[in-house]
Amino acid sequence: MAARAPDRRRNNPPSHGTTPPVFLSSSSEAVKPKQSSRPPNEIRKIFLRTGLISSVTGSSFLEIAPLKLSVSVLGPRPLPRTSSTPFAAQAILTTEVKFAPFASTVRRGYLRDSSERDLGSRLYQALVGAIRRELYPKSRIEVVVTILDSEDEGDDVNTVYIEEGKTTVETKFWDAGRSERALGVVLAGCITAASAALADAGIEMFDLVSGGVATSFVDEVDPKGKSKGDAVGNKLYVRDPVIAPPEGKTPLATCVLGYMAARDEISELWISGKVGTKNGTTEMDELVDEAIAAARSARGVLNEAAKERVQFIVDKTGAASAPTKTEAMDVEMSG
Amino acid sequence: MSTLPSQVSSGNSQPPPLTFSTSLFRQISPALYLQRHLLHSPPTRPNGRSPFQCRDFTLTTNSLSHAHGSAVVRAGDTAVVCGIRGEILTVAPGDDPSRFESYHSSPTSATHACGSRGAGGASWGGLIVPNVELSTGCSKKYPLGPPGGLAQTLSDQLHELINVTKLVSLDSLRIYDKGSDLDSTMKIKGYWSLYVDVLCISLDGNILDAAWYAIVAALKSSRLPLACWNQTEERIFCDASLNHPISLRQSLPFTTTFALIPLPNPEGCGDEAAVLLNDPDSYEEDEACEILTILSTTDLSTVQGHAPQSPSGRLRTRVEKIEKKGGWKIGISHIESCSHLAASKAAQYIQSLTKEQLAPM
Amino acid sequence: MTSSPLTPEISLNPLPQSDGSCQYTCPTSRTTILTSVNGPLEVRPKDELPNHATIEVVVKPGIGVAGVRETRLSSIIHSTLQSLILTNHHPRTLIQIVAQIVQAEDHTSLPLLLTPLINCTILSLLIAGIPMRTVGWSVHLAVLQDGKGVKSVEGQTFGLGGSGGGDEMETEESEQLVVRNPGSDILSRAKSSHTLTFSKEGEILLIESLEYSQGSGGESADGQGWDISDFVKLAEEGKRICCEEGVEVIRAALAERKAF
Repeated sequence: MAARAPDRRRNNPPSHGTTPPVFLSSSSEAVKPKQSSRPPNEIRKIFLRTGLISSVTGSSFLEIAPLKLSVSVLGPRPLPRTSSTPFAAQAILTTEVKFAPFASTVRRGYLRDSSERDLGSRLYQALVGAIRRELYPKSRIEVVVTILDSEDEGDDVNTVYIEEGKTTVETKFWDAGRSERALGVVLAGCITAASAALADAGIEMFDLVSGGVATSFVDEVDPKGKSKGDAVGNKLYVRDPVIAPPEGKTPLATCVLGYMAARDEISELWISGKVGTKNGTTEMDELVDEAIAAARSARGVLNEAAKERVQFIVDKTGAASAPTKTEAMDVEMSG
Repeated sequence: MSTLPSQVSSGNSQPPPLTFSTSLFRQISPALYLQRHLLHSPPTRPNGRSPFQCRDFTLTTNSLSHAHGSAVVRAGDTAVVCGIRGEILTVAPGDDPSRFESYHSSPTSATHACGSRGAGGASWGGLIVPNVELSTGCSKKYPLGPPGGLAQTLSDQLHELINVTKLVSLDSLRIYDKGSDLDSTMKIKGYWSLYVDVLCISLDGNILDAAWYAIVAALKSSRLPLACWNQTEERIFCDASLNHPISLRQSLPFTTTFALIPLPNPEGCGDEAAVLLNDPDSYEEDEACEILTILSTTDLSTVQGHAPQSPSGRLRTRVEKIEKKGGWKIGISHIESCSHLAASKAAQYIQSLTKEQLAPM
Repeated sequence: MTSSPLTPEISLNPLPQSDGSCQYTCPTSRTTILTSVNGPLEVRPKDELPNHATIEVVVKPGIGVAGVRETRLSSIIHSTLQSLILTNHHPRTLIQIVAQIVQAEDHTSLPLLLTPLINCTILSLLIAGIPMRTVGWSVHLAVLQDGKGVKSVEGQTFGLGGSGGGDEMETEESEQLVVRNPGSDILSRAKSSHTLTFSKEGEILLIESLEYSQGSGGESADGQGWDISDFVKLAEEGKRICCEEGVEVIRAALAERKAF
């Protein structure tokens, strides 16, 4: 890795520069991730808990198998009083997505890179329409997402095969849509967790937004055989896909969306890959429908988390209004 | 919170004083709110703890999939995640490995002339790179964006702690050339450089103790891939199936932080009263005028080896670092009593760490 | 000014444009610091405090650009001065302190830099006429296990009474040697380093004490550290130096500027 300019605000790595470990492997089987055993129309189990961070207005923590992320919502609070701040009739929403340096296979830097900025702007699109921003004039709402663990792999080569003195460098990309799938799952998680955190913050919204992701796969074809036409027939849609494609399948396209179930509206849509237009828009419609179905499943978890939180607050206020032992021990507070 | 009107004090000649609800009083006059609690007998902090009581903490190690070692520490409402990532520093043929073997960054002008000072220097101390990230929305008081003064100070403090305590054995960071017959210094082909990243997920005071504990626990649970020099390819390769732990000191040092809260003097003369709070939360930290941090080790295995002269039943405690900032009210006697508390806290930390290590992964 | 080998070289107001400035050279380690104090100044609205003056400390490194180490030095000096300066005398103002490291044996060593920085800052605050509760003085003490081959100025070293901690490893050695304001060669052999700052009245303003052990880390570093009673003895010694000699140095330095 090339030596970068030292960061003045952090401890810097040795000036010699360091490289991520390169693994020597005799077979590719050892590093291939495991297949998932769940049916393609089922999403992974979601753990979602809100209100864990006491010093911010709203927060949530989400876990979907390897993906772990924490969202905090700051505000609504007044805009900074500078001369350059324009009048804002609606609340100004900012979203930030940051991977922890240890969250992906290749260590990430401290400054936000392009994919993190991209995820941030997509999250903004997904949320901005759902918040009733006109109720919070002259204020800002900040949504900060910290990803602690993910399936994202970055794009570095770190497996090497050696046979008969000849080195072959094996990329860990077996297919093209790999990073889109990993980032798609991250984005869907961000959307679900962020709307849970916004609800925890008590910010008024039209509806909760839940994220869904689906990928279409086709049978793996021999690179030489040009049998593209019949591949459409064997299409397999997988909701909430993992990084490894199903056995013998190759991915075609991935769709990520933010969906408001009660209003039946899509607030953000991101499709990448190959979507044919031969049959009009049916291919795309099918993919989007699958993603919506995934988002609907996530919505159930979102509703549960919101309900749990409301119950917790009701219990707490109920307990506080009743005279308890701690209350009796309180010091007299007249000033 | 409820809007309970607090009781009007029974002064009858004066007009009844302005009264606020407890939660409002807490917000508008934190200093007075804290003082009233601490002047109560027995002194109780607003969070219900006694002055010397620390928060309960939980530790989870190796819950992250990509880090070589990780730990999640939660103490009260402060939660930190520490992830350790090893990267390889290859010693170039012209380099002198002895530079990395010395702890003290060599004060020769050569290192300065190269401008390597800003980039961490070339000493052993530079191989472990701790950084604290607070811009994670962990608290509404801490602004987003690049690390501010607190994060930078913490990063430097933790770096100093790692270096000064010599927590990590240099030997477990060396990468050897197994095939060669040359003397041992020539066989060192590279070093592991450890990136220790501490992310604060939730900030409620006393981040240093939580961060340091997370670092120690994460280092202790780390497994680095086995790396060795490949002569034909002339580079360092790792084996994905074999790994080795990072060897640490036997007696692990831990920090304990105290905050001093000034109290109004009832007589108005003489020494001003103050009270020391163990493990302050952020509400208390905001009002504290002095912060005292003690790094100490508690040796649980004193019986082995030579017979200790210290009375049996008491743990052998060594202080390795004392840091006191701001204010003037902490005296020598305070430091002495705090060092005993720090020792018992260190013992607690060790116990919880051993329990976590013994638990099946 | 008396020129005992332990008296620092102090040059007051070398920067006539600032409200108060001072250049300080440590007599033994030759660390040289230049500080300038300006204030009370107009404060940026962002930093304004309703009933206190804002203190801003900037430490500029001798070489390279400022990093985390300089930020930490600033924060330590800031918290020390916070308790010394009567900030409520100038509410809604800024007191700006800039410290430039001119010369140092090791530009990354916190203990070597901290004592000169604090002493120099306090002197320039006095020159600038900033109201202070009291004055303070800082001393850096290094504890050596044995004094063999230590080149030191007369009066720089003294022994510390046999350790009362009951540690058999220390008692069989000759008594520990304490070196005042050591240079980097002595510090690299030191067992521990203590930066102590006391006010004129003997209150502890700042402690930065840490252990310096040799060896390659890991298990070889086990069993280091000191007993708290050793530290207490050292702190008493530091208090004596700061309260007697330090205050005398400040008095002598300012005596020449009576007219000021």
